[in-house]
Amino acid sequence: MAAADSCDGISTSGGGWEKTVTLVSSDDARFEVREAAASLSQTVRRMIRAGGDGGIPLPKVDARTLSTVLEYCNKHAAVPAPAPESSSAEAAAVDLEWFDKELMHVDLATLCSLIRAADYLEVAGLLDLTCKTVADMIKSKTAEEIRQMFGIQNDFTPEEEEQLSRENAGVFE
Amino acid sequence: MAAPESDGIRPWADLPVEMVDAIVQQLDLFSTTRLASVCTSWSTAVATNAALPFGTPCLLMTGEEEDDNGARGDDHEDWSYQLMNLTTERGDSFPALIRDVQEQWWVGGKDDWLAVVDRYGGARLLNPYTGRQIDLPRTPAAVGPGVTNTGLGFDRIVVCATPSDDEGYLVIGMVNDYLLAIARGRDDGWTELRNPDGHPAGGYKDAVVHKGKVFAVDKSGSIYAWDLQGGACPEPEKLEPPHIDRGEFEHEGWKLAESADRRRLLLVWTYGKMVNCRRFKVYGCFDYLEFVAEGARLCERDVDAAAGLSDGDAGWSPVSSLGDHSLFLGANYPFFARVGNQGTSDSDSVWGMVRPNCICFAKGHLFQSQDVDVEVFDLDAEEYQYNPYKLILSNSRHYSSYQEPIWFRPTLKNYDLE
Repeated sequence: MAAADSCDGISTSGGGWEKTVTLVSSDDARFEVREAAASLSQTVRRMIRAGGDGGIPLPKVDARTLSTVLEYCNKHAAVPAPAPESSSAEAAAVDLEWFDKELMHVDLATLCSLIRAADYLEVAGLLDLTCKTVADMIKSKTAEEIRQMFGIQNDFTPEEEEQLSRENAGVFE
Repeated sequence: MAAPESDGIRPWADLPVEMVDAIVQQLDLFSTTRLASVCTSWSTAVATNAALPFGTPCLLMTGEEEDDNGARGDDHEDWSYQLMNLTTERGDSFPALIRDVQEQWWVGGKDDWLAVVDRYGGARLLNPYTGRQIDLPRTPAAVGPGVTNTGLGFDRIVVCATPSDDEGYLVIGMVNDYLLAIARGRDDGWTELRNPDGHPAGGYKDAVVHKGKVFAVDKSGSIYAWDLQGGACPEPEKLEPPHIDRGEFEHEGWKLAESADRRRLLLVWTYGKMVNCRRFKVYGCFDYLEFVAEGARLCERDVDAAAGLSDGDAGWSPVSSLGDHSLFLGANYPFFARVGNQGTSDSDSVWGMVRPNCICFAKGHLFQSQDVDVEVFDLDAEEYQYNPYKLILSNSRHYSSYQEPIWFRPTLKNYDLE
């Protein structure tokens, strides 16, 4: 309705200018990221607010993991918020779901790094996604199958195994 | 926190507790118990996760209803159920995945085991934690005169001892209220219990094992006892119910249990009315009149006491309080549990429907009703015999996926050992 000649704010479509921040991984790789995407990390958001020059150091995340995290953030932050019932909203949701699924096609070591990074960076959506991926691999498997899958040693002493069974069997009565 | 890729550390086993919690949050409760058996750090994380209902009696029941289109999204699985914790104010639901129960229905359970039946008369015991299954013997071929066999076999299987018990399992099968049969782990068939003088009045309503005998109560409240020690199946001894003033209530229901110290036999008397019900069973739906309890009373007796089994109601004494325990009845084997909010003082806690000193009924073979899924009689309430808490939990009446709610107390132990 209204004319487009009012000049209030920044165009987000058509290559308009957006504020960026620089994140520095544990192995000193620098990533320039849109602030909107980086702010999906509550940890980074707090550090942006705190200010400072020369990039935001993330000493607990290596470059390889950080690039995957940022891939997630860029995709999820880019999603516009169209009218909820529009067909484009539905298409965007399907697209996002597909993207998430593809992103989780990683080896287990990477998946573990991603969980730790998502937890440290406080990217709630990514933490849910990675944990859901692990949960789907674990469910309906036996403890031994889980151990083999994740390369975990059975470190229960026979006494502990016994105790764990006993303690819980005797909770009542 | 060390960088995850460093050598010499175990990325998965050393996952910090909050991340294990985050994984558990996406996991069903039975898978969580197996996760806890993987390694000590995961075990500790699960054991210290206060959000999980281990040790708390829950209702094991059909999962959330699908939406109107019948779609449940990508996550839909046929074996998706839920454990409902009703001790909290709003009731907390935990997903529970059980494999291999499609087209089977649970009709009993005890501890970690469920008894399930299929439409072809097959019955088995199933451990939802480990997935272990043990077939029960085939349904007894001979069903007494005047008894119509629905073909389903057992309406209820009272699981008195499970395969995890030292002596092996012991189950009582109930067919159409008029036939009781027992099967033990070593048996290759069912042993029918001889009916007293042909028939119990109005059919059996419940059965338990107490002090080496099977006790069953019939519709009139009379109790019969069969000694399991003898080889051949003996004629049952009869035990008269206590005299009860029926007042205005014409209809009643009976349940049996053992006292918490296992020394006395408990008789639970519920009274109420008959209501019109519609029930969906394996072969479709039918209408019938159903008993719905309005009040409950408890009495107990020492069956070994000098009064003897046939000495009228002298041996019975009323039970007015269960202390801080509650009694859980339904298709499950009856059990007592201390219901409590860990960490908060009782005066501060806001109770849900299930609280201490209650008799908690879940719908089951002996308490079946389409109107009510759960009834809780609070013995602390002044007029507890009236106005029990009632709750309708399940909307799903799809016959192939619907399961009647059953009390089930999830436990955390090392299932890797089994």
